[in-house]
Amino acid sequence: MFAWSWGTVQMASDNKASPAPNTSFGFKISKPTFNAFKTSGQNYIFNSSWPSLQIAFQTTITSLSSLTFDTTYYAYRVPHNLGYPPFTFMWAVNKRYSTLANTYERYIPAVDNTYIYLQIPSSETLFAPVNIKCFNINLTKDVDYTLLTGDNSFLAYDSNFGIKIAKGNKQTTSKDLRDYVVHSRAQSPLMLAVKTQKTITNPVSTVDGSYTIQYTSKLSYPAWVYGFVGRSTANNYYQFGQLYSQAYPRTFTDGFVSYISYLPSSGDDSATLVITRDPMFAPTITSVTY
Amino acid sequence: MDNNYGVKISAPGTNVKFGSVNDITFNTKYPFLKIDTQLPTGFQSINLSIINDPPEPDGFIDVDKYTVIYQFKHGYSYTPSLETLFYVVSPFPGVPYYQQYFLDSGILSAHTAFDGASIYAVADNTNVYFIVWKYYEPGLGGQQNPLSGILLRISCHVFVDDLSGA
Repeated sequence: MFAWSWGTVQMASDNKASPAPNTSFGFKISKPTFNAFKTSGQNYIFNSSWPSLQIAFQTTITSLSSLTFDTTYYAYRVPHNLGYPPFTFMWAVNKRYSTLANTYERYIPAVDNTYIYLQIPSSETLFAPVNIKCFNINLTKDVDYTLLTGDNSFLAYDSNFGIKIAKGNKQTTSKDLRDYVVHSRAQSPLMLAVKTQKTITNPVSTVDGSYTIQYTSKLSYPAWVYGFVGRSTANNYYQFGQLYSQAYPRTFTDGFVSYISYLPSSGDDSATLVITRDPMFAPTITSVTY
Repeated sequence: MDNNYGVKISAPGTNVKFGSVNDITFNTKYPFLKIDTQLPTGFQSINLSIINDPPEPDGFIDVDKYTVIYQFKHGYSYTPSLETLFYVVSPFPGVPYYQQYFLDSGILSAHTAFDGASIYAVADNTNVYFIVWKYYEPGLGGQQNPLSGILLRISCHVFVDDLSGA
């Protein structure tokens, strides 16, 4: 399945499982005519057990000059103060194509217990504004969520059923979904797993001295895979593993089998795979040609 | 992100007031990252077939060439958060290097360090764009990278959430 022709492939065994906390409680809202106690999958409008991505901290940087430039990691840094290294996305203005100079592209920054480090591939230039969203996912904690079924149907919305909780200064009468903490008309991508070096099945280093973390998705479609290599001695600094060859750190995946290695001789002593999946409703299928 | 109201559910045996992020299974303190289930462009599976080869740079004065090969209106009046997963179903035959799987941007074809064809996804306040970037430097051994015949499967999430940080 792997198409890369450069770089070393060092597959291992899958990490041991770390089941998520019991989520057989909470609240579930089913579609009309379905019994919320008995139904499953796509018949739920909302389920508090869905491991959704939730934003624990966010900010937008309008000027890079207002930030501290970290000379250790050669990156601007932004405090998040969550106390753990959070799974984080950032979107920055992309000016590579001058005709579309106000477009935004997503990047995966480095993080530690205190800061987000605004790193992008060395071939590109970072411009402001930069929007950062840190999620309530701790990169040092293993967890495997139950593989939920029911993502193959369109979810019609009925305003008479569901749940909505508005943000602090917003009203529940708002029609703008941005005004809500949670709204059952909307869904989030779901977490599948966080795998770290703590659950390596057979912790034996390979010839070059590296250790490998591995996860196999049971989804029928490619999962969303994010690999990181970390340094517990450096305030849990985690750097994103790019998906292309000749990169270190590098994430290997075809969307099904995923792994990342860390090399203690380089100072790294940990690594993490974060696996997410599509939300619990079917996509719009679009076929286009160029 | 107010602590004074909302819903919080912890795992059995965990005090809901003190549980760590992994012990709290539901917490409305943190806004959900949201995709509108009723917006057809919110979550798409796009089969993108490249029939016509995007233009090559001339390789001498102009070593870069950008081409928007597909765009769609996302339906919001602001720039939304965007994430894309690319899966190359059919690569260009015989190409020495490409990425079968990548997020947001990646390499569709490359022969040497001095040439390549990449694709990346971006959004502004109207559209989502898929842009092919080609470059090559023939004086250093670079080659052109034809893309016709490539089939991509793209999973695209256009989030409700904007980039204001509010």
